[in-house]
Amino acid sequence: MKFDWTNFTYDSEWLREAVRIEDECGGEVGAGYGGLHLGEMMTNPSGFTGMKRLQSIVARELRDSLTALNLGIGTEAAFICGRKIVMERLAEPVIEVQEQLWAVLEEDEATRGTDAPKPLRAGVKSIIYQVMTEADWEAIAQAVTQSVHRHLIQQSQTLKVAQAETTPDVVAVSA
Amino acid sequence: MEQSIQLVREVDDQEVEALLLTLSQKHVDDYNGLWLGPLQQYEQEDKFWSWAFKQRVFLRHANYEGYAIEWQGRTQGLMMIETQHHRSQIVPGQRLVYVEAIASAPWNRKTIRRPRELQGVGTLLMRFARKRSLDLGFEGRVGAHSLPESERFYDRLDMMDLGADPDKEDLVYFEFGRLEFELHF
Repeated sequence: MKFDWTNFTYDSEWLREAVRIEDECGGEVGAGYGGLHLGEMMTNPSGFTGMKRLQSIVARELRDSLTALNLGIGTEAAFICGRKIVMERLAEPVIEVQEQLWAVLEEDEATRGTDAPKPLRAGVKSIIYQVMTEADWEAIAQAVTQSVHRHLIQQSQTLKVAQAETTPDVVAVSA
Repeated sequence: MEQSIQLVREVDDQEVEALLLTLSQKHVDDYNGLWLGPLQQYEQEDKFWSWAFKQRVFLRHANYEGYAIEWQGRTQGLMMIETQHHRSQIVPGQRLVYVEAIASAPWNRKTIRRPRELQGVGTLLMRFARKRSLDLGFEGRVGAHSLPESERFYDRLDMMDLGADPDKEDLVYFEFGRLEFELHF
């Protein structure tokens, strides 16, 4: 099995092994933020990665904010719902918010790979609170409620099944 | 850049000759015209932030390289790499090639079409990213954030799993370390 790195050539045995491994893993090879925006990525890679980086920073700050609220089992549901809403709210924000977010991105790029403080990052939480409406928070609250409700029902059913399985044994022992 | 490569056509298990080339407008057009439709059946997380492109002009393109695989005149796979700003997490400070995006055409994905048209597209693109790393003096180091459904693939390539990255929406980061010229796949 031979792969020549200098000429980027390989024999049939190598190729067949490569295909076998790829196939064994389901044939999915996607990586990176490409997704459905690969067209934009290819046309403007710097802009695209900057934008995705910014979205990632916003998502992380949102998660931190929600985690700090101690929502327990409902935290993930709150994040999924909240993330969708925030991304929509920031799809076309006012110029002031755009400028603030650009500053955050520039700070992030300037401090990449270092432990340097990122003072502007803290402002992202303020932006999140600024762009979200009362109805948005209502929607998040509902998502949390539904998540807790689902969890409780699932747990109670599991307990009920476990109880039913142990009861006959108790009777048998008593008899 | 134009390099001849071999892939496997799944329907008859025959090896076919394809081309690996530098990204061009034709590939972007193929993506928009041929890929996007089938891909749009799958979920889309975010609305596109169009203001990000309207408001700023990005000129720092020199650090990006794009590649495509073509067969029978159609784009079969795409890859975009970044070559200057990313560093290794295995050996901090060491430069690496970072895979910004890699994807095979919808008709080469099991989840969309069986039998797939071609097999081996993703592996060859990742392999080429590693070759670029060698060419650039980065000793074969390559990093990539895998999409959830592809984690097994990167794990199987013997890339090191460095865990979910909170800065990348918890996508798992994988890294090829220094290439030892031995039996590594």
